Amino acid sequence: MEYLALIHADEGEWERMPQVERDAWYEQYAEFARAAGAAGVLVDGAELAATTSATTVRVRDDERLVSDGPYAEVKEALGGYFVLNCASFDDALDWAARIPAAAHGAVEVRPVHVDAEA
Amino acid sequence: MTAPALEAIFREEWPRAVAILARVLGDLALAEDAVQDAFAKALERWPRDGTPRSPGAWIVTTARNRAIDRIRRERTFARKAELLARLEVISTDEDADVSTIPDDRLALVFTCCHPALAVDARIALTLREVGGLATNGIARAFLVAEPTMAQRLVRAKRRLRETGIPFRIPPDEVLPERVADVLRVLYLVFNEGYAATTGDELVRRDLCAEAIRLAKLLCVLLPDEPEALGLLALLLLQDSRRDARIAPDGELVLLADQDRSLWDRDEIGEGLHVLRRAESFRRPGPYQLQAAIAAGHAEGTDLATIAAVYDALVAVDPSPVARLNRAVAIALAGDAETGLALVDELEGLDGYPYRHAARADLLRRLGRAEEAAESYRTALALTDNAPERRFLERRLAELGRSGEHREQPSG
Amino acid sequence: MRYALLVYGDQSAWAGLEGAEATRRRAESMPRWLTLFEEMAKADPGVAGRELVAASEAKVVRVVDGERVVTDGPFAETKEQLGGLFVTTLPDLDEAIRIAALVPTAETGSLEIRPVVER
Repeated sequence: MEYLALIHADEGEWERMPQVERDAWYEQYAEFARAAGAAGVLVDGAELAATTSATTVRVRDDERLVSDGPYAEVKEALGGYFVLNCASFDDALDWAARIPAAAHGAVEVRPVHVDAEA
Repeated sequence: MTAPALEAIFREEWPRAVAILARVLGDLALAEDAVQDAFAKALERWPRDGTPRSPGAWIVTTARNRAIDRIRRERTFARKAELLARLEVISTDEDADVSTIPDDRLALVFTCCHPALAVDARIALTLREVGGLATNGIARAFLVAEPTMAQRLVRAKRRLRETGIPFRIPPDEVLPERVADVLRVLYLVFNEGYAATTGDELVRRDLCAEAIRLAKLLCVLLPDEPEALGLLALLLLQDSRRDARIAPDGELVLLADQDRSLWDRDEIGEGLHVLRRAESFRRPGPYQLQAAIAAGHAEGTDLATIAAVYDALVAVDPSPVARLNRAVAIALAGDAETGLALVDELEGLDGYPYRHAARADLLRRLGRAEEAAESYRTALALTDNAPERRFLERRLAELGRSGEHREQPSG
Repeated sequence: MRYALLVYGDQSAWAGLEGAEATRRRAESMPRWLTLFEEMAKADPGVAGRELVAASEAKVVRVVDGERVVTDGPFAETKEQLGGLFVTTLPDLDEAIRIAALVPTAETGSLEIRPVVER
């Protein structure tokens, strides 16, 4: 069963971070990816650009409304995600806790929807 | 070469050069820096060696070479190789006829006015890249500190790159909405110079002139777009009344009370001419209709005819603000009761001072002083524009004491 | 450029529905989703999409002093909740906006477009 681990962290802190420190975080993420990959848990993942490069699109009365910025301004914005293949929700939570951001931000875990007939 | 002549070349050639480099490089920030370098070099060389045969081609060629220097200095290898390869398409012939250089200015306009940019970023970018205004000039016009405006421009250019906003003329299926976005930006630039009452009068006058200049450029780049002509006509006609709009003591003067000898007749003539050209397309739109209304006032058309143009405007633009203006026009044409009923019907304008000011005025005309006073006070609470406040306060005072007691707490 | 299209919708509208009614509504919007999938595949054959179960089923994990702390519910209590996402490679933002506007949820909710960081 697939679970989505949504990574929320303070992006301002990330932006202000010196490159060496950032590289150290990237190394931690790579380590997580290696471990999850070796365990057959990691399916996919991506880092999202900061919310300053977000664009929001709505359609109302057949008219397209485009605005700059994210859907919601939250201090700890969605900054990336992993798709994890785990036997149970609890396993997924264990893996999510190993994502570096869990220590300073938060990781939201959501099961991926599977159609009943599928 | 004289300074004004250099300035004229600069204003003409800046957007052309920025546009072609931005299209080729896909990076507006880098394009602007290279063109800036080229103009700095022109400033140093031309007075000494004479103006080159083809200033435009000289600037583009020089900017291309400056871009190469910058790319060599700053970029990582793969990116460097890609950008340098892209620059190959720009001619190295600095004597070339400028007409052989592709005109990418329209793409530049659309990119600067992209809806995925914040409105203030669109305005700043358009003035900087298309208008060629210096950052400190834009900052002064918008009453912000220069570093704030510089930061706004840097962020806007970064956002263009990071979000993948394309540098091109939009495809047909979205062209009408994107043209409307561009027209709106130019109208906002004009209004900033026209409606604002704080800041240096000369700076604001320049901003209106700049909006008109950009609208003219847009009419050249979009020759088959009647709404571009409509906007230009509207700006010219509004601008023609600029000197009559504010009394020497700084008070706001309503259209009906303005000294018509202060209206700029040449500008009115030009506006009317442009409007006729727009109307010859037989594709009316909100800007053409607003220009037609402004033309009606300039030519002293009777108020009933003007109210009828408002009907047409509301048909193409049923926004609450357009409907408010129509209601006022109907009232001024003689039917204050109907006008008032229409104003009261409007929804979503509770925070809009002009709605309350208009309502107050209609109530005053109908002799309902107490209610009028109430509306003037609501309008006053919503506006911080000094001459408008003084105008509303004067009107409120003219109502006499009849409305005053309502302000007392009723216990 | 790679983009993530985040689909935000008001899930409370679905929460009160009986199973049969939810199934019926789903079936009703299906043709429009199929059109979207077709357009998306045309623009990028490598497009990947995932639909999430309701945000009310979400759990949030934090590590505090080395301890795993789990709380119920989504991270942010916004009116519209993330209901799914697509990741797709497209030529530019205009194309991403065009595709985003085709997502049926764009008519009632919001589509957020975020570039994916390539390292």
